[in-house]
Amino acid sequence: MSDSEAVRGVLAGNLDLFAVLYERYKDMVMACLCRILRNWTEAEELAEQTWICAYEKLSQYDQRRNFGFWVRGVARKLGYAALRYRKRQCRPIALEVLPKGAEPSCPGPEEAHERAQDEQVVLNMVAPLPKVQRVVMLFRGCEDMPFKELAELLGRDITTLKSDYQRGLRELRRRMEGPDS
Amino acid sequence: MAVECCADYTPGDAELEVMDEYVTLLCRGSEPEVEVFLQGHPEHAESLRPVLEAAVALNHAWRRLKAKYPDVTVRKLLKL
Repeated sequence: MSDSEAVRGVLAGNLDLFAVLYERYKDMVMACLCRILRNWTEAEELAEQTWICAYEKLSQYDQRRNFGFWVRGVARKLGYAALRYRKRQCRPIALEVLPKGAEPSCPGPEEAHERAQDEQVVLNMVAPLPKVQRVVMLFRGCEDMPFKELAELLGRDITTLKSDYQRGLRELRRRMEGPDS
Repeated sequence: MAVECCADYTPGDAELEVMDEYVTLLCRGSEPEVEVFLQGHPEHAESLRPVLEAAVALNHAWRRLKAKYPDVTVRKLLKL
């Protein structure tokens, strides 16, 4: 079920479908708030508020847009508002209350470098391809975004995108074989 | 196995549907063996084999990345 279908279902009264959206994007919302607030406990509280706010404002969500992007926008808005409030209160960041092993994702330079290298492994696989093929390869082949949604996102015909995807995979396979193949 | 470059290759709709069926399974974690899956589509087996193998390779690389960094998304990766 696509995000748009789930949203339409919720707006039509099937509240259980909101759990589908929550399960899909809860980690993304939490990661976003951790990055902003750098405090796990506060991020958890604000994540809850984010989902309440998202539910209340769901009718305002433009279904042509990506739901994950929208709900992350809600989280960012609340996160930065909390950050401004915290600064006004001159409250220290309560890092000591972090549960052990549950640090927020605020990596230092070494971790950031390692992550960039790890991400590059995936990016290198699609790097030689034209931009549209790269986007299709990653969204369809990694995140299971339906071609219909991709077609809306990129403003292209579904059949063309499927062909792009297959061409991208053929090129990737050719490169896996080595430069002389 | 040598695979020719795809520059002039134009797949038919049926072949694209079969490819998409496999990719959907792959993305949802069921990951059927390529050869087993192609036994159900012998008319497209030769053409689709390299494509599906590449889809598996890309998906595996993504899963490794996702396992290490659960917050990673394609949008972030592409800086969209």
